[in-house]
Amino acid sequence: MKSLGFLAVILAIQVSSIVSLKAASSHLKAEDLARFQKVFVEGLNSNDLQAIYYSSLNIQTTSEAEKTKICNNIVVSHAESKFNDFEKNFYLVGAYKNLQCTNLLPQQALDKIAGSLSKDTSTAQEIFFNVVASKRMNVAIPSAVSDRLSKAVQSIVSKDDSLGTLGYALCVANELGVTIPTLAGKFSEAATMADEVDGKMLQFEGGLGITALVINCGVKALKTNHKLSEVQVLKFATYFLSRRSVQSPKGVHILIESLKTLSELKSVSPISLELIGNGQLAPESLTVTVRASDLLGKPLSPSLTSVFGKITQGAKTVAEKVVFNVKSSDKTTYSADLASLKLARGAYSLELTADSYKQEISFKVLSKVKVQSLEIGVGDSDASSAIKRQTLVYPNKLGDVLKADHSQKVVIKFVLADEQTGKPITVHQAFVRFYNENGNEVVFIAEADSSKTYKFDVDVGQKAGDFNYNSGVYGIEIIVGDSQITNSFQWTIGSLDLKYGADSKTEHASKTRSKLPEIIHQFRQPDKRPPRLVSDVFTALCFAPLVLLFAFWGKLGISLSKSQFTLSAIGFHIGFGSILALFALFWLQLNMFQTIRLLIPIAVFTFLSGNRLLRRIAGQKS
Amino acid sequence: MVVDIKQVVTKFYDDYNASTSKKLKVVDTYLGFILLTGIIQFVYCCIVGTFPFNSFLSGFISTVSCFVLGVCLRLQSNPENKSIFQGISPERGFADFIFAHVILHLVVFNFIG
Repeated sequence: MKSLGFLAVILAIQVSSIVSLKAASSHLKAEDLARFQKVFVEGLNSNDLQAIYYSSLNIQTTSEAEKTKICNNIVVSHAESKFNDFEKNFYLVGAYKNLQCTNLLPQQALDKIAGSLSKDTSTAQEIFFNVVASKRMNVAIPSAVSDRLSKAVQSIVSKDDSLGTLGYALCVANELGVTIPTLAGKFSEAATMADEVDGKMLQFEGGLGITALVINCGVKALKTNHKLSEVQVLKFATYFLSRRSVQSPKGVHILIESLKTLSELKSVSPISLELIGNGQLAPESLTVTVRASDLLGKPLSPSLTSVFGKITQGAKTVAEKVVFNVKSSDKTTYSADLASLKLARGAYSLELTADSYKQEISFKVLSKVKVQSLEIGVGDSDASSAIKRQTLVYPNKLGDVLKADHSQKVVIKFVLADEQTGKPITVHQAFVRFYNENGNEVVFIAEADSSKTYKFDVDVGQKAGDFNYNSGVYGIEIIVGDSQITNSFQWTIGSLDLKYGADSKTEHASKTRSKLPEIIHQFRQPDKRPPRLVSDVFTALCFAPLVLLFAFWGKLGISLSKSQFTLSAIGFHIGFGSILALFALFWLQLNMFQTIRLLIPIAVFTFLSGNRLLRRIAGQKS
Repeated sequence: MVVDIKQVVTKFYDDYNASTSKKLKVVDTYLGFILLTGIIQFVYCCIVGTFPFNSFLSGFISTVSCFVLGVCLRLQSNPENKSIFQGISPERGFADFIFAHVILHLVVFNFIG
């Protein structure tokens, strides 16, 4: 119902990346356009006179009833408006004309407009609104009045050097079609003093309203005398594009108006070089297409003499001078066929040179992936038996259901290859997904080894927690995805019947909230003892030397008969014998303290008797 | 060759028999007994294993220490070494030997488990 008069302009702005020698890119998206449309529709139906005026400049209503309603509304809004008289009169007349209303305007307002130009006014803004309103009402402006007004503006500008005043002065000059001598210098000075943001944008203090006012009227009034450089124009254009989130009908209107004005600056207007499409080249059509246009998306005139690009991948230059040819059907479109370069899969960057303009564009060459081979099998997790493997061809599915229990593992091995070259490749994402009909799923990452073979094995027992100890039939799916392949896929390769023991499940369930089983200290399990016979034999062997000892001593002729049966000798032998007996007891049942307690008296007794015995023996010798 | 060795061994044995006092022979026999016991324990450990390790260690260390103490006793009671161990009679040596054994076996029995 509402025709989109402004859409043509917006679409033209939606050329992305308006960039020249030093440039940034920015573009309007479809949602911005939709929002602009909404802002205007809302503005038209609001009770705000200014909003109605700016909306009516951009969209029209085709419904008679609605038109009548809005036409009546502007009169009401005008009466209620809190704007200055001159400003609301201007909006009223402007909206009235835009909507082609037929109802009667308040006579008081019309009278004010008619008389506005003859009286003296103190601000450039008032003069501007009065002039425009008068023009809208088809009130003739005699040259004497025009001269008077331009003199008045000149004197205002000389007294007040604010940007707002300068902007309105320029607008007046534009509307009257006169040249006010001092304005060109002031405009150029203001542009030089504009605030720079990030080295990419230029704006005036006061935001979008002031910037749009000064630039728009300045360029229109001064025409070729504006003295803006290419870089300045580009930076102002970048600023306007960055403010496309503006919400008010006035803001949207002045944004569109300013971009339109800038794009009409033939000599210094930035051109837009943008990639058409999403920058992903499928292997079957390796054609890079770019659009070269002015800010409004129109073909450049004069047209570009040469467009060529340098393709690099990382630090490596792939192609030096790729020539882009203009398309005969669309003068803004240039394309180059890269098929002859045999580009491998990957990300590339294109440095585009169009006459004096340069643009950096990145694009990707995609490829298709195919499954070269896939093997799947189930085997014991301790590798005690060979795994029976089955091979599978994409996109087939295993006929029978695989079976695995907690002591087994599932092994999947697959190789992905580039469809064109047949070489194995790795992809960003390769997953193996197990899922059952209850909606439970477990996803494992498949990792490629150095030979780019994806080997994946899941130990059913170890991963029991992942499966939540749920036995049952699971579907197995291979998921392969990559931003650089055109045919990412999900492939259900078969199903697997998992069996977990009943107790393993209950054990798992009881762990969460109930008492854990008591931990009983366990001593180290003794090693296996040798057979009884062996230890007996060695016990006997250990005693054998003792027998030998006595045998030899006997042979040497030791006899107890020579011993002296003195008290000390008997005491010594008994004492020493008791010590040995005590040690045996210590080994069998006593502890160290008990032993020492008993040992001390025995030892003292043995020492005394031994001492006496030996002293006597020594005495006998000498 | 074999004859030579046989002659050497025979000569050595004869000399030993002739020149060594009976007391020393007793000690030597004792040393032989200790050595043999130690060897048997070691062989057992090689064939069957060291478990229980503390028992093996205490038994083996006991034989080694007994051997060392026995050698000390033999050195001290040998009349030829009299000049070295001035003031230490064989009886004193024997007393030390007994004393050391008491201490040693206290430790050994403690360790045997």
